[in-house]
Amino acid sequence: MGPEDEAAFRDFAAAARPRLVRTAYLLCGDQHEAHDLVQVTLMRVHRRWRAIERADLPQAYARKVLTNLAASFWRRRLRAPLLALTAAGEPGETAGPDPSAAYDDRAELWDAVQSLPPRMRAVLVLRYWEDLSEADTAAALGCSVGSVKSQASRGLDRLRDVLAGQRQDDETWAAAAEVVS
Amino acid sequence: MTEQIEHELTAMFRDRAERLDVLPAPSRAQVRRGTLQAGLALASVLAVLAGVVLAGARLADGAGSGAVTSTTASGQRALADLSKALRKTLAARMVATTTTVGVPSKKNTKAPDLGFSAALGRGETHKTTYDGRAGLAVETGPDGQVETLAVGDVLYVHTDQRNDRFLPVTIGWVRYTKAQGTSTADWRRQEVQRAIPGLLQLYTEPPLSVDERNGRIRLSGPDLAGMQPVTVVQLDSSGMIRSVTSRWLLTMANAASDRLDRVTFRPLRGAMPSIEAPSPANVISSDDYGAEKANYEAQTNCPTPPPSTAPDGTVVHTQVDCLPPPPGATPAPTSTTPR
Repeated sequence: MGPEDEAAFRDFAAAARPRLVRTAYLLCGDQHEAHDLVQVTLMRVHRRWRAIERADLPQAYARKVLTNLAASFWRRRLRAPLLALTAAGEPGETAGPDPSAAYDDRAELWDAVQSLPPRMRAVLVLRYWEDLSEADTAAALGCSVGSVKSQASRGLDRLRDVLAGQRQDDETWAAAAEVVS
Repeated sequence: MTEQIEHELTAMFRDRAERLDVLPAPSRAQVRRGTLQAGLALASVLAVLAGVVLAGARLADGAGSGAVTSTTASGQRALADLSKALRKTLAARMVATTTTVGVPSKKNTKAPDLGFSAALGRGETHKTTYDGRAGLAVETGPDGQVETLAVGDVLYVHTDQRNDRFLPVTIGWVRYTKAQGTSTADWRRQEVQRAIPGLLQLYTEPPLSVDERNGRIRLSGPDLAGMQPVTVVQLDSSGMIRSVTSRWLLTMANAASDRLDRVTFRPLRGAMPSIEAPSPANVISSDDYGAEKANYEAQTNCPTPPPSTAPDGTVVHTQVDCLPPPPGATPAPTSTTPR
């Protein structure tokens, strides 16, 4: 790659990276894994930069790579649980508990999303976080628009069921507490 | 209803994503280095256990078992860098905190004892804190030499489980890229031997697989629940040292998440004075352990305190008093272990 391409890639990486990290985090649920996924994504984008820049597709290509990597992450985790090892002591590292543990806002919904199958979750993240159309979501995931529609519909149904059940439990507990008091 | 859940989902995603700390982007050199590693097979990475100090020291001072190989200029630089990085690591004071939940039985763990066993045996949630200083414990074989073996990619130094003062030092690893026309094992031996002669004398065992990606190191294998100082030496294609970093790694088995719920580990930067003693002073063979322990306690006037229990049930193992004196104080003489 020439200097101009390098500069263009650096600009793209600097601009796209924060958003990619956040998307990766929503896809995999792990902040460290999210940074890793994005790093590998950018490496792959860098490798094919000239071609994808010519096609004016860097963002879409990066998103597609990222979703594929996230799917691989889930397959790997299901197949052989990775034993976490925290590296500490290097400046700039942020080893430590997941920041999401520090707050409970919409925790039930987050937990419910975590429990969805990877594909279904990816559809929801791309549709409702990336705000992609059904066609763009299908392109990113390499599937049909019909598949995206059905996955999104079933995913929302499952989230709704989970939340409805939890709210019912809350009401039951509240009623019981009222009786006791 | 669908619209409501969509709104909630969008808000939740936005909330989660915006609260996430996005680390600074890696440097251009890091990105390029990663690409080179993947595409051109130029880089190899090897991580060396603190046991390397032993081999390194033998090579450096020409003493030891007599199996020392000649040291090239590259090897000398490698040894110096390794020694420096390891000393820096081992000089660190550290705090390790483990939270355990629902452990049915103490017998279910074979973790090195950093206070883990006391916490693990209770069958309920407990937090254990270790606050102390790193050291090395290297077990010797029947002939008095450190047992070494080279199998697969992982360098492994046997630890002395009796050593309750020093953190266990157990693992190092080598990652390599196979050169065309060379068997994997041969390539590794050639490269490692060229960079750090004598390194292959170290003990290697393959119960663990180690993966390094973009500066993060992951470990998969059996339940270790321990900390290992690992020195990462990055070589270029010619076998020259590119960088040496040393840091503590903490292992936790996801597969045994019913035992260890969470482990956090943090070094206390700047809390420890530099250790000026040569690295062999940190190496204690099991034969010398009893005498060394007594000597250490005499120097520091610090017998191992029994674990204490905090009001909240936290089991605390502390060795704070055993830390070396602050800068400016009269340093205790450092003993060396004859080999």
